[in-house]
Amino acid sequence: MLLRTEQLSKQFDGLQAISSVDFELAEGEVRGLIGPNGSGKSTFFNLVSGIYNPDAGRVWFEEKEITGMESHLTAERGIARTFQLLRMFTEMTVLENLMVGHHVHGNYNALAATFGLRHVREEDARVREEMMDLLSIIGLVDYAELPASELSIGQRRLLALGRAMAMRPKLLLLDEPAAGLSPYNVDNMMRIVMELRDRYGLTVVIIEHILRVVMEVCERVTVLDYGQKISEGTPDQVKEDPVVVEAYLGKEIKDTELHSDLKSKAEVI
Amino acid sequence: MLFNFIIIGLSLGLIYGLVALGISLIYRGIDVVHFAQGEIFMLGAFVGLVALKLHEGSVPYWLALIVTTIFIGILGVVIERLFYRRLTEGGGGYTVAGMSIIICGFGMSMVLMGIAFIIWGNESKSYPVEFGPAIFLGEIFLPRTYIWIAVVGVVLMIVLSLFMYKTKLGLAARAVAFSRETAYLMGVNVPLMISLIFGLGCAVTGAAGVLIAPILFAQIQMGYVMILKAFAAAVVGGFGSLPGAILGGVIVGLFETLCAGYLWDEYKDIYAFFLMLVVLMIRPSGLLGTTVKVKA
Amino acid sequence: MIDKTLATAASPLARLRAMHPLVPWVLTGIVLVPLPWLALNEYQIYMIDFTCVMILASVGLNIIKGFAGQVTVGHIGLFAIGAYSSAILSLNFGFPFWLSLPCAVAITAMAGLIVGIPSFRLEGAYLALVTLGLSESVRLFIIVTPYLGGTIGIGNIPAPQIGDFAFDNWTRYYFLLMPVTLLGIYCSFRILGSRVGRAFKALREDPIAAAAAGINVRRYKLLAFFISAIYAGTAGAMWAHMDPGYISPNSITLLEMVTMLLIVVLGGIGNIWGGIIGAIIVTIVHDLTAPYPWYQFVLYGGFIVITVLYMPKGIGGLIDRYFVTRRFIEARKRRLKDAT
Repeated sequence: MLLRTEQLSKQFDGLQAISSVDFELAEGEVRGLIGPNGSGKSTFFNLVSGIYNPDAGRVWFEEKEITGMESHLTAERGIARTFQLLRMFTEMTVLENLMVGHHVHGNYNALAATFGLRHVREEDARVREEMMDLLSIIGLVDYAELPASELSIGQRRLLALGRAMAMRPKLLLLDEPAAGLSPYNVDNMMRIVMELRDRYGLTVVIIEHILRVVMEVCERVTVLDYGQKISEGTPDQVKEDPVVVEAYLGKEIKDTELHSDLKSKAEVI
Repeated sequence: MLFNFIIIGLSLGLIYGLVALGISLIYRGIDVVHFAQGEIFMLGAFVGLVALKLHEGSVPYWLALIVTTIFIGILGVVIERLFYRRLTEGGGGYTVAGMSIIICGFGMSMVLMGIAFIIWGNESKSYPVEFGPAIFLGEIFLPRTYIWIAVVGVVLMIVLSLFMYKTKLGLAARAVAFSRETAYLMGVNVPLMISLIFGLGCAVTGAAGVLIAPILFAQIQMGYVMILKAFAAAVVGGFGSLPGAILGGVIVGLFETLCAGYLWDEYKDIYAFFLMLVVLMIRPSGLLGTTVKVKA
Repeated sequence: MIDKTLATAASPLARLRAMHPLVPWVLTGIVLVPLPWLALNEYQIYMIDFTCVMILASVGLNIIKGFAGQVTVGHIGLFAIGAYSSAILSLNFGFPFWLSLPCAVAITAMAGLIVGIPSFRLEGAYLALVTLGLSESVRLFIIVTPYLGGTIGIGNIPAPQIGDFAFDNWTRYYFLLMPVTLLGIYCSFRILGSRVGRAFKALREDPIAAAAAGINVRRYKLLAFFISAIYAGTAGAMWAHMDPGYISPNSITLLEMVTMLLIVVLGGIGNIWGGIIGAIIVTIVHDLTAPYPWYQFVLYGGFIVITVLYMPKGIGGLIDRYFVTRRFIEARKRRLKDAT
């Protein structure tokens, strides 16, 4: 198992955000993580990637425990993530944003940088080229020297993906990567994600609300509600699971007085 | 001797508390840490002096106090409208934008100090008031100024609380402090409330200046000395908490006076800073405050 | 950032830089050699020297504020530590300048680290307060400590010497200051254009995203304080040994801090070139208005307020905008050309 959690729990001021979640992810999987708003999906990512410390439970990555490990350390281990709220470095250029992502693999320290030693310049040039290649894969190569603030929302989502990819991760956690995108851009984004996954042998977990993405792209789906895992399986299995349906839609509307009342009014109109 | 230290410490502490009250009020209301609050305090002292000297010095102290408080409040509103408005709209926070407000406040404090020099010069000016002989409670020596400070301080706190919690305008101000967007949607005149909050914070601080001036005299650098102590008070009591500001002020005042009395008095001005540092490292939210550091 | 790699690799500047990035700076140094002889009088040479010191200090301040985004108002305290350390080491311990300077810089760097520790838990205004308080504490400590000269200050700080040759007048000192300043500017560009600089910028904008990208936020904050303290310490020590070799707490007051702040704000926080231009402008203005110190408060404070309100990116921002716009237009022209 690439990623494993056991009885993971986290509460905020009395609200149980994540409650005893067991999770297993095999290498190479594309897993969907879905659930109604507030069900704890982003919190789950934050617990794994190190932004929050769990109150209880443990997390393993590549069979080594990473419970409570800080963000930059999980990043070094190979866990990359994007954020629901983008978190772009708007004042840096597109290329620089990617180069920051590559930071984990950098080889020189501040002292070497200060004196402009040859290997520093060579490494920077090499990284720059690698990042330009990455930019062509995600389709942003023309915008390399522009400040990130000049990009449209679709391009920014791609940039976030690119920055995560620049880390050469083993596990990619995407938090609503297609939120706010037009259907064309959603397809484009998903196509690029799958291409990257095939090319670099990634494992991906996607939080998404767009049903089409989950159905078409994910091999398995995990469903959270009120911080608990309520279902897991293939997209089709999960879609039919009554527990999942109830979580999203509430109980079926029975033939209540209100229902017939509305029906009769509708007939009049 | 100890009792005298306590009296002094409490009174000084109340003054720190009033300035801290202004700072916390502004912070709570509009998310701005006003670095120029020390100069507002200093201007309070000087404007009070001017008020006292009107009509050939026949203005009574209490009237000068009221007039100065109102004047400084209005001055605060003017400064806010002219200068800070552009920045408060962008929101506070710890980005480059947030840094701008701090730097702007810093610059403003320089401007105010310089203007004060141009008008009044560098010497300390004493207050032409006679309160009458000091009161002796047994061995305790209680100059009347301290009574003024205590009484007026408490009155100000009560008036402010009544305003905040018992009037509609106060409710509107609290709404703006809680969430500006929601207040807008509820029909509150948010820009007016922002100015009101700022003005109130400055008024309270200006009053503090008038209250302490009979003891410390009016000196243009008093703001610079005050700002660190007032911030220390706000931090100790909990930044943004109004009762905390007064409580923190009293604690700082007592701590500083006792340390200066029993330890080295050369380092008098550093004790408050030291206390603030300790609180910041151990319990940044202070005694009564709640700070929330936002995560992803 | 600096390397406009896309289409202009053949420009002469790029060719020079391709040899070694230090080359254009060495050439600049050579070009600047005759500067003292262009001055009209001794005092102007002093001004040039003083400007170099201010440039060094402002580069350091720019690194910590503009790049790491830490709100510090205590740079002058570090400057003082550098100046006083070097003075004490050379006067009371007989260190030659060439030893006291690095030692003073090391001491200041350590102090910078200490200042950096609160920055882990404090943000924005809290950090500003703490650094302000620390800086004031340094000044107060100097005043009440006779060993450090108290309010009278320390005089007769020896000028640097090589054998019999002493850098004891402003012209000679220039040949020490100018290369050090150029080196300082060069090093800052190298740091900021490297992964270290990018890490700084990332951590300024969004520490959470930076951490998620693998940047150890605590370490880089400390590093930023460390580096900026090195600059402040160097500037302070060089200032101390400059003719007339006298330092006192009066030269490290609030006014000096505001002057430094103005330089950085006017030049654009985080913009090295802007800071250099700002240093030159402000130093000249500072000198012209020296007879009226309190008016300086109004002037500097007023300019800080106005710049923050109306020109938030400072002069450097205007320069940057010009270049970015030019690059954008060229990129667009190129894209149109490719399309046809």
